Amino acid sequence: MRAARLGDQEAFREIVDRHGPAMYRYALHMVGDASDASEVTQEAFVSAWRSLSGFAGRSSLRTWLIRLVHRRAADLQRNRRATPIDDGLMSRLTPAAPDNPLQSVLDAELLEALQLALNELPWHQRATWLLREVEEMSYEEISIALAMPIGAVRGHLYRGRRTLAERMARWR
Amino acid sequence: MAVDPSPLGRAIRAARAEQPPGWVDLAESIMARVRRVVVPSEPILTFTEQGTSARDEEGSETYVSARVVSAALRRLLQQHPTHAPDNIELHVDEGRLTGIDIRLVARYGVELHPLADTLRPQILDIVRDLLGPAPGLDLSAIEIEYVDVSRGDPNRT
Repeated sequence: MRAARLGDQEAFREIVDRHGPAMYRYALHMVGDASDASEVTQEAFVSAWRSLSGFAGRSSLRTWLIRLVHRRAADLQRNRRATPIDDGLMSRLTPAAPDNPLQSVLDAELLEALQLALNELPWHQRATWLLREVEEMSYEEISIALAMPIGAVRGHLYRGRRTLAERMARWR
Repeated sequence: MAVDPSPLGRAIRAARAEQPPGWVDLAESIMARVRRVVVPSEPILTFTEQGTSARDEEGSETYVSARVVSAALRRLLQQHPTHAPDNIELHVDEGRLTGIDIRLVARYGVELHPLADTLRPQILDIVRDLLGPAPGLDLSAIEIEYVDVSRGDPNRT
């Protein structure tokens, strides 16, 4: 981190390798498209490289990077229209069974169903749910990453959890 | 902790374990873009062995970017596990390098004053290699400040 701040590209590469997969995963779930998520992640890292010398360390590096990704994803989202969910998809999918050898296939289908359900969530509910449940960040970290009060984080998360639980219950 | 058997619980576990496809190529693209980023940097005047900035009879001058000097100093200061650079600041006045402020993190137990006395001539050598014998730039122009101490190699923290 210290070396990267002084312009050491190899040190920055270590940061990319350590935090990049989670940032890309977050971008993918937020924007729902690999090409857009790639662009969002690249722009966030280029921005991080340009402004790393000014990173004051008031939050963790991971939280700061997620914030950069979130801002760029939000910029992208502002120029888009919402994609309606295909409600028929979840009823067509086969529920997972314990010790099923096809678990990875089922997981892929489950993730696809999750993404469709996420696409329907309002933006802030989607972001808070992903950061809490998938990236396992604390309320305080989410509050910093999304620049919103902790109370608002709790509210969005509560509503997002409730909606997703209802949506995904069709898999039972 | 009990495993949540609900579809949403299973989806969360799958999402946490997910390795996004295409990441390796994306990481390369990120680094390629990073390498193309040009950070604004001040030009610093170089000098000949005779102590003049003029390279020919017409007074042509050669400059080296402050970024190049900083990078060379960073590499020098990263070579040993006893210390690591935290910040390198070059003072440039009308194109001339007039001073260098180095902030270091030292490993716990290192003798700080002897280390600084060892580093100053090395820093000056690097600068002279790049800029030539800039008039007025000597050991006294190099300030070294220790800003932190770490238990292990500070280059790895």
